[in-house]
Amino acid sequence: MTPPFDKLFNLSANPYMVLDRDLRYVAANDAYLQVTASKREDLLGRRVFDLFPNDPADPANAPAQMLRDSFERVLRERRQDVLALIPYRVPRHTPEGVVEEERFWSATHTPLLDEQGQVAFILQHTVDVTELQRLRQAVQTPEGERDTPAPVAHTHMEAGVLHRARAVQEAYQTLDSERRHLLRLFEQAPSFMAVLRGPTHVFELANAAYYQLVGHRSLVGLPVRQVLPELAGQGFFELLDRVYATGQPFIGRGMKVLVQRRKEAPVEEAFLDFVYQPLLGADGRIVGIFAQGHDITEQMQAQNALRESEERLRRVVEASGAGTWQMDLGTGRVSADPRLLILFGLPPEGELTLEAILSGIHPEDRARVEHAVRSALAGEDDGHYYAEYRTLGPGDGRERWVEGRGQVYFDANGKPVRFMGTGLDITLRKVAEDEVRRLNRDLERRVQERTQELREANKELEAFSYSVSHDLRAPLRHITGFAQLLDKRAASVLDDKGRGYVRTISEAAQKGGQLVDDLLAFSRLGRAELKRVPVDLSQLVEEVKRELAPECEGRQVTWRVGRLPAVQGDASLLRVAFKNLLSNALKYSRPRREALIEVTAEERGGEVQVQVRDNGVGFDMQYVDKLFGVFQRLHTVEQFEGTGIGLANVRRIVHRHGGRISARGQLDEGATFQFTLPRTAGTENLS
Amino acid sequence: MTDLKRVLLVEDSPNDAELTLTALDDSGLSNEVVWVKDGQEALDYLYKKGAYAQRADGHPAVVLLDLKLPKLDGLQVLERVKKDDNLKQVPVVMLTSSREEIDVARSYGLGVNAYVVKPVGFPAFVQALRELGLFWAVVNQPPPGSVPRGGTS
Repeated sequence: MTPPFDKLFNLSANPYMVLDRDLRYVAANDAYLQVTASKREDLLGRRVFDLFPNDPADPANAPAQMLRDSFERVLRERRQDVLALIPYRVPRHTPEGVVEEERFWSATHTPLLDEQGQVAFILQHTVDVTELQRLRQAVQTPEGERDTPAPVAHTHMEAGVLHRARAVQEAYQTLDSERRHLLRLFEQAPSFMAVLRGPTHVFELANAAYYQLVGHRSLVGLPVRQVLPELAGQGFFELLDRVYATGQPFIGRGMKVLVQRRKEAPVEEAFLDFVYQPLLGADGRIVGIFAQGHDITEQMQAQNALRESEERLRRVVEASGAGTWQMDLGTGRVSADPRLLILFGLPPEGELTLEAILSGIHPEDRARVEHAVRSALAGEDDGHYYAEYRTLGPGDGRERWVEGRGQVYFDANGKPVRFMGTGLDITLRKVAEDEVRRLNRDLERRVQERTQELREANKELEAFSYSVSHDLRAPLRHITGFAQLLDKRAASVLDDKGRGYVRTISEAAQKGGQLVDDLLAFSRLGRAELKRVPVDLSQLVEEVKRELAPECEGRQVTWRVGRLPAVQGDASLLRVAFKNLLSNALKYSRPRREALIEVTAEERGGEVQVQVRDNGVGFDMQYVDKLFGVFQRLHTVEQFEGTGIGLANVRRIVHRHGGRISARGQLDEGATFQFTLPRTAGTENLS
Repeated sequence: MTDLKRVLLVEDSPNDAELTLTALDDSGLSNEVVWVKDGQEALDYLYKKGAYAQRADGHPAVVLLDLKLPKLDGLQVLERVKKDDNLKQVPVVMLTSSREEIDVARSYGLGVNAYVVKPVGFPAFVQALRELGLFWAVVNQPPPGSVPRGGTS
């Protein structure tokens, strides 16, 4: 709160008055008016010596001269000047009325400096010390000398003077501290303050806050248009003029001003609350304007920032397409933006109630939404509300899907006070979701159909191989059987060629039977269920070696079997695989004087990599792709017997274990087969 | 066809039947064989029904039964035989082209006495049948009521 300086000034028990450089009254307080028996309107604007000449008959009378000298000293030296004692004739209130009589005064004159350090005003503090009269009488001053000044010279007055000096000193101190106090209050007031004098609004006083506002430039003694040129065109000068002209105070709230707040800095935007209060002279005329106010730039900026952030938020919500709503749970008042009303098919005008909103919800979904709302209000899930539901616009009857989200806010006692949230049209999303679901169902159905087809195809294949197993083998058996019988019965009547034909018929049929058997075995490998158990490869290889012992008879075969780990797999299938690989190695190394067969394995990243190498006839890498094909052979039966099913079986077995197989070779340089098996149970492949 | 013989051969294929008979001939059993061509005929023979109503009493020492047969197949015949208290003691040997595990499993499940896959090679076929015939029709002591060794009724 700004201290009421005028009031303070007026209420002071000490007489004060202020003179300008022309020694005209600018101000006088009530105490001064009292001791001088004057009226303010008689004083203000008038010269002090015109009003109080002491001796009108002699303008150059000594007391007046003393007083004038003191003023001139203040103006010249810009220092305070004290008149410890001065007799001066001034009107006085007495029980008999106002009389003009000589009284004794003690006066202090204080310069009030402007920005340039020049004395703008003189503040006078006077104290009536007429009690010295009594002293004077006590020393029997002759009656005739009553009017003569300079009683100070009288020796009997010395003690009185000392007493007076002490009194003056005390009075002065009181005055001084009061003055300082006032100035300090003015100076330190948090609001900015300035006194503008005259029609051109010359700065008479300005406090620190004011200087801060306008960037510490020189103000006092200068007209406002000159020192604050950047305000031109902003309407402030015109306001001052109007206040000065009309005497109507002006109150400005949150007014924007562009002002240079620092020297040589660009103008800045500031916001001010202020009052232009007219100052009236003693005659009631306007003599100046008291400007006082607050710089509220920061509050305004904060407010603007808040407004902007709210605006941004509003735009974001708007951009999301969501409608917003809020409900005061105390009053039950509901408000919503137009987008939300559209979602519920509600008219944009009219009182909004929770019932109206709920009635817009599809009857089938209403209970669900009400339940979600109740749960949120009960504080479940921290008062979060979420529901997807349909609305039916009463106007257009359109069905929309809405995603409702909300939050209940509770007071310190856990009582729900506010409920607010958004509604978003998710009709398109729902349509898309339905489509996805439909497609999924369709896909599911197709997968099932396809699975069924595959199952049937598999069944057919099984039936096929079953009938192959019976029906295709039978005629082959008949051919060999009867060829054999023919050979037995008719050998004597056949020549060598004829017997050769019979033998060929028999062998061809047997070969056919072998192919059928191999094909059936291969087909069984693909269909048989994999029974995964831990298989010790070392043991498996030893057993296979034993089975192959007959093939090694009469040959020099060196086995190099490394340390083989256990794997997870189907023992009988793995046995078939190893038997195929090792018998191949034996078969194709037959031309070697000494066959060398290596079986090694290493564990690598959860897999076991097995390698079977021989020093046999090898193969040309350009045919490597044919190696694993069914009935694909790189040699003739005359070179090496076989149907070409063995490696196809091996590959199928490895694949069914989730492994990979590859072969490396070079003609006449041996072959290496490398395959992986899972260390632990792996996925089963269908190939 | 009213005789009771030691071997009942149930075989729809004349070629197979001839080869089988030829092979059994090596064991001197060819005259001990009754050859029927389907499952129904096999049951008629065993139950003395239809064409076999007049045959002599008793059971064969062994039934050589093909799997794939017209009308009733081999497994159906086997099932009927093994579920019949009078017949279940008659040894039944499956003599078939099928190596299918499922056929083997079902046959044993129904109580077959032996399961023999006909080899493609004739010497092997002859060998197999010779041993088969010798074992079941000669070496093996058939259950009571069967045709006695070396004799016909």
